[in-house]
Amino acid sequence: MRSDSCRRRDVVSEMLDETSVVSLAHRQHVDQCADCRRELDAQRTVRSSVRTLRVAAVEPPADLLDQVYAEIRRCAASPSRRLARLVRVAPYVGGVLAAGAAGAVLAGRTRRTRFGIV
Amino acid sequence: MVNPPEIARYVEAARRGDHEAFEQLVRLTYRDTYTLAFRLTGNEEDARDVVQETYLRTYRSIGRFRGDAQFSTWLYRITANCAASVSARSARHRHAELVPETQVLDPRAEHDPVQHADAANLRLNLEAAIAELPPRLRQVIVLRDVYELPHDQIAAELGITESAAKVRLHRARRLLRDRLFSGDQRHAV
Repeated sequence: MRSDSCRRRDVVSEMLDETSVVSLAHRQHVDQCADCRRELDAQRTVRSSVRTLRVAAVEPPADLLDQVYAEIRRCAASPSRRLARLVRVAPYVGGVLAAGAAGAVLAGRTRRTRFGIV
Repeated sequence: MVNPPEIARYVEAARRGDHEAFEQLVRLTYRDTYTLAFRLTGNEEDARDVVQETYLRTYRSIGRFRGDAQFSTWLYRITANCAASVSARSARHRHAELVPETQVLDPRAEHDPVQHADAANLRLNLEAAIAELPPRLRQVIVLRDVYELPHDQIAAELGITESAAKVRLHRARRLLRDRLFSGDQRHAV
């Protein structure tokens, strides 16, 4: 069972989200309730502090970039990738060949019909 | 700092199959990707795996990137998705999480050493508190409050419903608030 204090904190958390819809009744309650306003201020402080992490980079391990390059080169060179590309292209190539063959057959028939060689 | 027009140029070339352009993209973005991966997983080993997997997936699918979102947002989403998979895998193999020792670089470092020290302390406290959150809650609060991804995208990448994402966010904020403002002032802001 969730306590009133938990529910109150959820409403406050919703109010922090510009995208969330909070009912007028809840907003009015938070405006009038000292506990809720304190909670809102505390959560605002925490969130604005959390946002500062966006500009603080975590230094990656020195060898990470080379490892990523190596993985990508391995992936680019792997037969399965080339095969996958062939498999992707094959239906189109097959379709074009089939359409060409069908066109040639139809053209042959038309010619034969025109000259009465059916 | 990453230059968006430069990124856009490399993205366009990489979409046409230019391998070197893709490597340039990696060079320009891997610090940000690693930072996000580290914040989502809470440890270096998993963050490495996430970064590798992220760029492999990006490499395989960059031809399908339509450019209707920013490349960085697209990369964040792939990173979040990979982090969810790696964290789930790690949770099966690891019983205890280590609190990471984070080396923080601030590109906006203040000249005033006292102010800089306060900011650095605050950041360390926050990072420690976030790292101690359960992974499912940590992922949501990092994606929402640090990277400002919308709820629907967070839900999609973590494979949960939007309402579940919101519930996790509220719980994460509550826990973080309790830890940062707790009586023992362990991580006091």
